[in-house]
Amino acid sequence: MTSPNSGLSSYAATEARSMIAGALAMLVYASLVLRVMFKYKPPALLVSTYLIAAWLVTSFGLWFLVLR
Amino acid sequence: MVIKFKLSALRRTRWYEIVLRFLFGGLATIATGIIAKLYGPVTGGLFLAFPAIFPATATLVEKHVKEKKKKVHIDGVNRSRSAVALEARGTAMGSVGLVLFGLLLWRFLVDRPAWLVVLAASLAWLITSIVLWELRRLIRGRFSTFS
Repeated sequence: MTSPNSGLSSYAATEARSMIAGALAMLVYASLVLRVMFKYKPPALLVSTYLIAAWLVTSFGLWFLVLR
Repeated sequence: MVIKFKLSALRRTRWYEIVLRFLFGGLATIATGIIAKLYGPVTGGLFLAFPAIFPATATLVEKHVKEKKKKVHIDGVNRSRSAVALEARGTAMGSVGLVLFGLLLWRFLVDRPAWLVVLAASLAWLITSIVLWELRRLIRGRFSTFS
């Protein structure tokens, strides 16, 4: 039996599954920012913006390998 | 550093800094909705964990620490950038909590009440993040005792 909201729940559950990949990419991103900031001490805006590329590569890499 | 609520920090935060965070967060939410609509929930879900607020927050933390040090005539560039690194460490720990949050939603959202699952997952995120921070503090404390 399916409830009227089961479609919505299923949609949200699918998004949540992808969010796990996004969160793992966030972990990689934050770890990289941490390392670069401690080691080289560059301006924060520069590092935190450029390293978004690392988030994109990791999340879409996981999407390609696991979620697609 | 022990985790605690510090209401005085709110007084130091200017209104436009809060607006800025809401703006970036709001824009990321809208963008995620559009991406999910165009490419489906599998792709859209990725962006639920997009680092939208972090660059703005990191910049503000850097600015605050620099200003604080400037008041006592110290060049706070290094200190401010170390503060950003610490902010990133907290973010990394929060990300582990977010993985657990997503895992619980994914597994239980379909056959259990949504409010209960979201509540449980939020608590799991909070507990995981705090436990990781405290665990790191304990391990660091133990090692520094022996060094």
